[in-house]
Amino acid sequence: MLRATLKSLLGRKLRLALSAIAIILAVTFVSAALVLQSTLNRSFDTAFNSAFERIQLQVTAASPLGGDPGTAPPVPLDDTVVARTSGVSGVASARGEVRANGARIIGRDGRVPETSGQRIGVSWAEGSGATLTEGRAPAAPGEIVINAGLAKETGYRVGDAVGVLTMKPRQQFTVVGIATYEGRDDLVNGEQTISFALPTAQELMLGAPGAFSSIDVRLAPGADTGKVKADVRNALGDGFLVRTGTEVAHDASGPARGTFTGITYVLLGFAGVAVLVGVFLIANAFSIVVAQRTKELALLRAIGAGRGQVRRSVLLEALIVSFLSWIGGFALGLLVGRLAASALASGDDGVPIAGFQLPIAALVVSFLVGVGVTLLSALLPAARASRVAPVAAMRLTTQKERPSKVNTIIGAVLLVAGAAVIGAGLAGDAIAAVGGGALLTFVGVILVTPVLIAPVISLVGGLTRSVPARLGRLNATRHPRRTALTAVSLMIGVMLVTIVSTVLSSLQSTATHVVDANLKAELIVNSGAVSAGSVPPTINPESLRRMRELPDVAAVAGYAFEPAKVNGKDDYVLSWDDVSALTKIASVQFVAGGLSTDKVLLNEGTAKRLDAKTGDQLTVQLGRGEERTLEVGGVFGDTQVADGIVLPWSFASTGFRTDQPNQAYVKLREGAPLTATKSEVVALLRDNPEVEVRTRSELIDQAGSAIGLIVAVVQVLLAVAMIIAILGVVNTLVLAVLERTNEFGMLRAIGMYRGDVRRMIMVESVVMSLFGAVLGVVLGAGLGLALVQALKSQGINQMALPWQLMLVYVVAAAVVGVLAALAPAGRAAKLNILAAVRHA
Amino acid sequence: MSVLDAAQPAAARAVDVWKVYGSGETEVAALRGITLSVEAGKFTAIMGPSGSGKSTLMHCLAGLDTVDRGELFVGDTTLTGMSDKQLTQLRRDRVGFIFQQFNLLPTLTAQENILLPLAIAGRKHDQEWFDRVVDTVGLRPRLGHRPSELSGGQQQRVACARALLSRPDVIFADEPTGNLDSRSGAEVLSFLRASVREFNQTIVMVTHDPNAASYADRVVFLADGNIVSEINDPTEDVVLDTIKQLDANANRVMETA
Repeated sequence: MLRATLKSLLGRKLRLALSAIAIILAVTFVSAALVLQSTLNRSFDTAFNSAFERIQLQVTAASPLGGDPGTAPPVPLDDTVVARTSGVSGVASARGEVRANGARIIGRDGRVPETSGQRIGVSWAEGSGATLTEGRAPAAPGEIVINAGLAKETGYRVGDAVGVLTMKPRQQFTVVGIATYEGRDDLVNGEQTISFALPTAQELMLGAPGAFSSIDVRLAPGADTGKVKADVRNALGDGFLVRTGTEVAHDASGPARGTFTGITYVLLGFAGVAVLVGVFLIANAFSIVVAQRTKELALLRAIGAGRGQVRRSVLLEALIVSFLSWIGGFALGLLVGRLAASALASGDDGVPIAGFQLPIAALVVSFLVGVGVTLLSALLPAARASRVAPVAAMRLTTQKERPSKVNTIIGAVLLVAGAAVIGAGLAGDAIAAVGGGALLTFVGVILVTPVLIAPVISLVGGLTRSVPARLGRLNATRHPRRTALTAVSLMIGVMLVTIVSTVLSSLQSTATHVVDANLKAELIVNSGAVSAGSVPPTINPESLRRMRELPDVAAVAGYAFEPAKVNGKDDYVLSWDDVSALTKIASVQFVAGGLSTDKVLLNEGTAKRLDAKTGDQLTVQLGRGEERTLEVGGVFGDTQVADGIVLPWSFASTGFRTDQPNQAYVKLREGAPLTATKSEVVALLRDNPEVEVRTRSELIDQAGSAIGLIVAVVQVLLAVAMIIAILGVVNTLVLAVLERTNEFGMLRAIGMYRGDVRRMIMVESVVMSLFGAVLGVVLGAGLGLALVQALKSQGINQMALPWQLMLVYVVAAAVVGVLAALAPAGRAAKLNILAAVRHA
Repeated sequence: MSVLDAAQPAAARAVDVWKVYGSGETEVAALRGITLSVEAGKFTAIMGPSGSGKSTLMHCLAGLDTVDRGELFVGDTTLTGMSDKQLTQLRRDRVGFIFQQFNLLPTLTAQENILLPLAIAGRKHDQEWFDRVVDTVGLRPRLGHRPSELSGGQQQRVACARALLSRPDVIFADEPTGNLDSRSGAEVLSFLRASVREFNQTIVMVTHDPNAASYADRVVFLADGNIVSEINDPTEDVVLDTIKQLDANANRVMETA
């Protein structure tokens, strides 16, 4: 039996290669994603470990908001903590220092230079690991040392005057020295480090003279790190973090790592789609193999092979193919993962790539995906193979295939149940139910697809008037189950991208709607997307003050937004530097209370969420300072522009990272010239290189371009799904050509041109692909709209279908159909008529 | 008009036709200089043992295969040197086929199968002629059925009607009764005979079966790529006798050789 299996395997190399490609693709994506992730993680760990290996113990104040110590803004410590730390036995010395994210140098081009790392401001100290390669240490308030990498990036040299943004607006400094870190240009790759004299760093980076962000603890000779760490923690009590160098390194590497996590997720998403589509492709490939081997299997049964033997023979074939494909896919994945890691992490501010290490996780997961999924997909075809009756060996023609009634009924029930669950989920605001309903609907559609094929395909009958086209259309309905599996593998990709596109276009439509309806300001001052691990941009309050004095400006509202704890729970808060301008820049209308400069304002949605009304008390803990209790002074109707927990500026400016706004909205006077006023505003913001001025339409475009990037990623996803689906279509067509050799011979004999034969197969392929795409677009749009409806509470309140994209997807599917048919159609057209007619 | 003078107009002709498969050691000549003229309006049967070249000859005459030497004509059109496209057009417009395995399209009804060659050629059919053909083969009540709903004999009658409908210069039938029981076979053969008599249709049939050959006006016997004998107005007994004689000759040749 084994020998017979191997022989028949080798006899169908092409079909095998096609299903193998699907497995290889899925395995490659999965292992590449995991290898990329593990390689980057190890590379970052190595880089940060060597950057922070000098640290023996470090004391910092715990952020009152909790959270990741790598990203939370530093909480100032005072002298007394330093003194208490140095008093602990085993501590040789404790030195207060400043190290905080947010020191942004302005380059020669007037912009803050790009980096994948952080922009750190530190207090200069001998023995802190920095070595001067040029110049001297900073001593006066106006002096800084920059790291060699930053000097190279900006071209600044010792003696140059440069502008730096900190917690305070832009100030001028003189570069007095260039530093390296144990021979490296950067402390850790990509970091821009600006060293100030201690008092300057305390004021500019912490906003607190005499304070420190951390304490560098040196241990006495022979002291045990673990014991001293525990003793220091005990001596200081709650509210402090005591970490070893390794721990600091790990926390610090978090934000840098975060930049690349997204890419890993995208790859894993591709892998997921590849697996999902692959399941159908593999199942189809094996049912085709079984269909083709029917005679052979029946013969084996007739000469005495048992059902189990036949089933095992098919599964063995699946095992061999998937195992070989897994090995190939894994090797390819290793290569792609390593290359992607080098590509992503290289460059001027990249980290060196860690050495090779066998990725166990990737090995195991990709094995499960490759071999496990294939075997599962082959189970059904194997069961069908075992039901082949021995007499089938003697039959001339194959039985006509009909859609299974049981499957259709189950499918219809699932479809109705799915729709009902979605409906109930939407009514009850239960997004999990909507997801579950979507899954039921999806499975239901797959099961009913075979019965849909004949009626749906006959709808396009009018378009197929020529004889070859008509025959091609009829051929597509010949094997409903096979056509359904093929179409479904195409449907999945189209469905997924249609869902995402529907959500995104609803999002964009919502953004447009909100700007049109609720934003009154004509000019918006903000930055592009804020990258992970960086601090938000700042706008000099002085620039805003002068803006307010422009004759054409009616009102300006500066805005800042930060995480906080409200009533003890993690939340976000915002604040306006001039809350009285709020009603001028947005359509804010109070339903209770009114504007207030010392009370909290809430929009209705937030008030409902917090269960608060005018006059209630809220406790608010910001990133710095003590917790405070504030009264709710007013509740306004939802605007989606200014919604949230609005704190008084007097409170926010003491507890936020900085007292400078991140964004600003400008309302012009009636009849003011837009372009000219924009230029005036731009001129006033010259010293704020991180922000740009946008008109309302530019703001909508900005929202659109952010969405555009996601759409682009989604298109790549579709391309991946389509490439895999092409394999499925090719597979089905190759079999069709083999099965109908006889018919092609007859058609050619009675006068059909080669081109007509080719066209006939093209039409069959295109009809199958279009069927899958239309199914995908319809299902995707339906599920997408359900998702949008479910996300209504998240602020997406406009439904919009991406008509153009949907059309593009359908056209793309037609192209897929043509491409997939090229080889099989060519083969059919070139058949030798005599051999084809005699072919039994 | 041709290199041969013929009193009777020829529907198809082969003139000194050679066909060789393979090369060198494995070279096999299927046709060794055959010259044959198929008379118009007659039913010609080609017989011979397996490998005698009878099918090859028919395929070459029908424009399905090419020859290495010699000339082929359908009517007065030379097939030799035609492109694939020209040959396809010739088959579509001037030649009809009946195959051993019926070769109908399972997706089409009987009527659609009958009309298929005209549909492929984009020609309109003559309704009167269609009705006459359909009534002659007795398929009227079965026109809306698909091949899977028809018996073997009915399927082959559909194939006959399909071949007749375009009124080709010549119909080539390749063992048309090979897959049928004797009764269905007799029906199909009577129908072929009738279409020659009533419609003046030219038919060339390749067969193993002496009984089938007895329906023809003329039987041509092939062996080893040559015409070795022929009889006009055959009966089954005469055909059987001829075959026995030819076998005996062949054995004698082998013994003396």
